[in-house]
Amino acid sequence: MSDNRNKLKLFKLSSLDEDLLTVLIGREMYGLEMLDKLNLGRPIELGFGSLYPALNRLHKKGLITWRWGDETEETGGARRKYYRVTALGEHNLQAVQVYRYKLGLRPTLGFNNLVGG
Amino acid sequence: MARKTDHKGNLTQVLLLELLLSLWVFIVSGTLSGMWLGTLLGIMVVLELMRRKSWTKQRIKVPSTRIKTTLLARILPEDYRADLNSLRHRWIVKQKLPKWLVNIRTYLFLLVVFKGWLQIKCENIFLPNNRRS
Repeated sequence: MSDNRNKLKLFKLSSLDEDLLTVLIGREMYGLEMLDKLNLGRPIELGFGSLYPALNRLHKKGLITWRWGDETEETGGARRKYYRVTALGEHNLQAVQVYRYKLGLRPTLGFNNLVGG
Repeated sequence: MARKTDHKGNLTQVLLLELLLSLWVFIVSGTLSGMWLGTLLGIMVVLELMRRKSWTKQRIKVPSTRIKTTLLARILPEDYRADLNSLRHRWIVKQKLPKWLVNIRTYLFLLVVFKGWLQIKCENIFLPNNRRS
């Protein structure tokens, strides 16, 4: 099992990709719902113009998947797309989080250490 | 036209019911006052129906939150339209914003989403096909 997970491919993830994967882990969400969650306390607000291309990118890489929802009165008869993270997406996010954690634990190299003094 | 016919049908049914009620009460009681009682019952039925009708009208009268079918809205995928409609629903029903402001915001959002849609079309040229895990 762990061997299979190690074989999963790693992709480059932007900070927005990481945010989206983090928000989507363990639940299904549609676009507006995600935007509401992400913009809560975010310094620079995220818009639909950035959200949809990011979701498309993640989907093309196989990091997330989606299904059609039901038509509702609120959506004017249009169907929502519900996104969720795949195993590959979880693996990629985990790899980045582990790297970040280790990065924080690394000792600071001073000038003396660099020149060997 | 069909609705008018329905209303006419309802009215005929009510009048018939009223007549039957008054006849029934008249036969049972055998007095003229009984017939008046039947008529009163009929009027009460009519009033009840009218009250129900006005209540139904109030419930149906919900402001339209659907986006106008502009060229941009027609081009965009269904899920984008669903999200925009949900936003409009929020602005109109929950935040009670004026209609002109809602329309301006809708058009701005349509432009932003259209920009995103164009970006996706360009990116998809270079992105790999979807891999399923």
